[in-house]
Amino acid sequence: MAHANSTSHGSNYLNHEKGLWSWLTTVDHKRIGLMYLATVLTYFLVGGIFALLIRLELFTPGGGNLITAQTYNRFFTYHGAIMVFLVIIPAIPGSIGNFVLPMMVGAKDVAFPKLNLFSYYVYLAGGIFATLALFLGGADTGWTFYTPYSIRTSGAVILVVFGAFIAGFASILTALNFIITIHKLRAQGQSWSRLPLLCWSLYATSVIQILATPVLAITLALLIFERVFKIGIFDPALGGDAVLFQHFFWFYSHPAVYIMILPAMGVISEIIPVFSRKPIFGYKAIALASFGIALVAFIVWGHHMFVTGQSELANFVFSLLTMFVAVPTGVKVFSWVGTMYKGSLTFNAPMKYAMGFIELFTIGGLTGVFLATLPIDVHLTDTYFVIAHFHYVMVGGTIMGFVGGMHYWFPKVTGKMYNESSASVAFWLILLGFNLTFFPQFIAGAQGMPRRYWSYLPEFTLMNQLSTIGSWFLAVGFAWTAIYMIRDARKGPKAGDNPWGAGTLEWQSPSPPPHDNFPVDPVVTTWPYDYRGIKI
Amino acid sequence: MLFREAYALGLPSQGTDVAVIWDHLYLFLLWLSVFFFILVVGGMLYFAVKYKKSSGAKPKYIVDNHALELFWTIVPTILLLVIFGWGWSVYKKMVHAPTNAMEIRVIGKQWLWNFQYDDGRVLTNEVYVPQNVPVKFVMSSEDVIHGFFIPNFRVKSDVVPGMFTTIWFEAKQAGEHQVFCTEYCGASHSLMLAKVKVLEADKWEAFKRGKPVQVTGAKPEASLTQLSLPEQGAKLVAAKGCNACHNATGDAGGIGPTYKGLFGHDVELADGSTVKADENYIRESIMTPTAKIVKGYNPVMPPFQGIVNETEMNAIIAYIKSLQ
Amino acid sequence: MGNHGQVTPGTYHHGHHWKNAHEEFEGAKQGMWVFLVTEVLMVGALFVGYIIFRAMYPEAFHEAHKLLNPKLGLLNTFVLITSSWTMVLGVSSIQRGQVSRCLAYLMTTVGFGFVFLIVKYFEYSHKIHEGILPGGLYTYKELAMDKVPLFFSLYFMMTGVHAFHVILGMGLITWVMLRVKRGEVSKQFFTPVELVGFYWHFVDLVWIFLFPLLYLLG
Repeated sequence: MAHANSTSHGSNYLNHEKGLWSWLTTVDHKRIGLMYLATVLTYFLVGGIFALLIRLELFTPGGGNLITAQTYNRFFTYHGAIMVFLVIIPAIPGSIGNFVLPMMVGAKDVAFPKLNLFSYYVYLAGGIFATLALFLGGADTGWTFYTPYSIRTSGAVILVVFGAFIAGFASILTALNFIITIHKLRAQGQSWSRLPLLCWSLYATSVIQILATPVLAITLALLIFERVFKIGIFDPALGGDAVLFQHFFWFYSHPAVYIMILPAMGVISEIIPVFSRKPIFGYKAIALASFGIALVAFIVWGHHMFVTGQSELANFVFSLLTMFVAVPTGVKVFSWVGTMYKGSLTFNAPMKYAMGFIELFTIGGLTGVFLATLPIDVHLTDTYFVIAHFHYVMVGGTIMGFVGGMHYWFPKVTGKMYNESSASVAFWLILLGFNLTFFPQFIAGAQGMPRRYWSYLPEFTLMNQLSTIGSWFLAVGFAWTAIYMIRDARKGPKAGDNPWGAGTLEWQSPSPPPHDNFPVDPVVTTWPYDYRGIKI
Repeated sequence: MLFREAYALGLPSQGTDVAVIWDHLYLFLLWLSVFFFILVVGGMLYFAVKYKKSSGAKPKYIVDNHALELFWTIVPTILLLVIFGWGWSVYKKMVHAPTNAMEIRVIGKQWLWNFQYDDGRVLTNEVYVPQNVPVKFVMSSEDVIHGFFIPNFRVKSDVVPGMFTTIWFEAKQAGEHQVFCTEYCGASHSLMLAKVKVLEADKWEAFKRGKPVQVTGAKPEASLTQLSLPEQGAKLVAAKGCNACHNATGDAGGIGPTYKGLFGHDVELADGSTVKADENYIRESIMTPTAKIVKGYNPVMPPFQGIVNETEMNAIIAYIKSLQ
Repeated sequence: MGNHGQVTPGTYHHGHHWKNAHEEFEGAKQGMWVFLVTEVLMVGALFVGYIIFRAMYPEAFHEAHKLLNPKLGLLNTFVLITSSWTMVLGVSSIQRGQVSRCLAYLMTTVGFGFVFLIVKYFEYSHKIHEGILPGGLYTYKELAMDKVPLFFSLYFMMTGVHAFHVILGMGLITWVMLRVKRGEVSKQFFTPVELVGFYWHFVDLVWIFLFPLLYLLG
């Protein structure tokens, strides 16, 4: 493997063109990736502030110590809608995926660079619409927009729904770009069996986005028409069916949780072998498992609706099918741990986050089996148990993968190295804070505390107070991460082209990469997880 | 009992036989999860210590192992099928009410629960049921989707406008059992609470004959007739669910206006006019609430025509009068 | 569509990240197919909603569909099928390098699009006038059957979404015509014409399903 050592001189994508305008009009996938990153992180901050306010209100049992019930309901709606539609769904595909995927396949750019820029602005527009709603009347429907409540409540529900609708098109266009890029722009010698696992999982994610997002789009469009023209399809008072909305919504939103987690699984699959100096265990099984998960994703939506009065037969089928989600998921987790067996492990920040991911995701996955089991779900659904479960998967999974990936590709993106001990402090704060925030919620949920409660009974006080205290640790951990990352991106020590000794193509390019990604078109001669020839 | 509390991570008490078999399955899943968690995370940490680079570990080139992969695909599949089968058998017991179950109608609306008995009685936010008798709730909603959840009985169902849903239980523990609304339904969702009051056979007979009953374990309540009129009113506004939106503290941030300092004062309405809060104004605001909307509030209150009678109306007005 | 092999890198400069113009064309075509898959799912959700409600309330839907005018629906079916044919002719003209002929065919296609919309306008305005409107706005006295308004909610949503696609398609064809006129699209590079053609056929195809479902079966 050739290591072009051109970091010290020459132009790169950051200084190729200068000025704000050159960024706003760029079609370079790397710059678009960074624009996504900046926007996603901004929304992460906003969504996080709402989360902290929610937790602060819940520090004491009776409602109203900090905010009124109506304000509280708006805050959890903003928190959920922003985090789901504007942060977790675009986070890894939009930022890491955009930056890394074309380089991993040895391409100069994504298949349709202009479409890529367009999709960023579509996403931004969606975000702006949703944000406008905060100032123009607010919305208190929850991120799930269940009818008929969402038809009847006052406020700027339409704006939030329209924002999510628009953001959906951005994710469709990104998915389309990735699929064609992987199909048509792979480097010479990169057969399908040499495709890095992040590409496999982004491919599977893209397939889900193409198939599921349009259904959400039309559902949200119908909801908007419900509010404007009283079309009544989802409103029982007008002859419609309230539960039909939930079928449509979850037909998208269940696959959407795999849109959220699969990219993080891809990131983990890249990090673990590199820091174990050992091939990924069960490459084919992991790649196949991504598609297994994508397939099952489409036939399990009804498990969100076990207590909505749907037929027993439907409950039987959906519960049974949901069980099978655990199989490919388990295969992935076992394979990651298996990769560490007889390796030579180092524990830089990316590896810490990967191991944190495994810890949290295992809890998230196992509690998923609780919820897949019909009678158990009857008691636990709509309680804090569910809140804890999906935060373990979505934050413990996706966000840990995202932050781990940000550290892993930090030297490639910035050309600098972050400070390892700073990162270590942040990691432990986040890991401990996360468990302290969300583990007590499993217990509160099993005890019966319902979700979306502004005021709760005194018997749940202890668990809620632990949770609120945990949220402060999380906040400090993330804030500290932001501080040292900005500091080290500017003043960190120079990183080499391939500081981790990784085998995927992006590391063959200089750090930061040139405008066209590679000084010479790369040719692939081995699969990416053979580290025997790579010296660090 | 204490032992159960300790290892069940504080599950609610077991109010029915279904709750007992539910707990068995839950605890099985819990310990199975603990096992897998230790296997995966313990294994990971063990490898992390054993194969760390600083201890001089040399990586071994291993690509896969089909036997092992097959093993960790098939074993979880079998386990999951077992869990599903066990779950299904419990679920059938949870949802299939015995044919002789006593029926009570439940109506959810923003933000209270009404319970309608065969004899025509309607109770708000409290329902009396006999011990050791199967009871079936036939539930519907007047407005949006609500959720009816009794943690002690491990039963829950959404309450959906335009259709009926049911739950059933056979209560073993006499006393009060908490009910929560579990489907988000708006401003006072978290205050839409009720109590299932399980009565022993003799007390149930008394209840059926309309006699006041003392629920086991509950604080003794003075009967209404022993209280002054404002005290009666205070109990009524709590029982009818009024407190979900209105308060007696003078705080203006509620869903509806506060009672405090209302009576005898001018009220500014949404249309800009003002009205004096006298007896007739309060009566109208309870019976046909949307007739006059107070400025700054939304027309969301349901009418209480037929739910509040004349005696109760006088008590409520006396209570509001007392809060100056 | 089998003659894309004729694409030769000549006057046209393909994007720098593609190996050659042929690969770029193939990629664009695949991209369009993927996009159409998304569109099928989007329209498909509406069809599923319609089928569910029709299965639940067959009588009401049958009565409601009688208020539609199958003659106008049939006329529009012919209009769209013909427009698909002129679209195909437009694509094959540009592949042969016949610029003015291509422009004429594309213009005709847009014209048929207008005819379709005009017919639709008459159908809509008649219904609006009679009060045959979706859900809560329905006021038509002659047929006051329960669930009939629901049929019209679905009718207006489905045909409305379709009409929106027709308008989009007409806009895209107009854009392609401008590019043909400016010489940006030619015998060497006709990707935009062909892809917009795909899109137009899709729009046509959706109507082929809508017409019997709404106007004939009910």
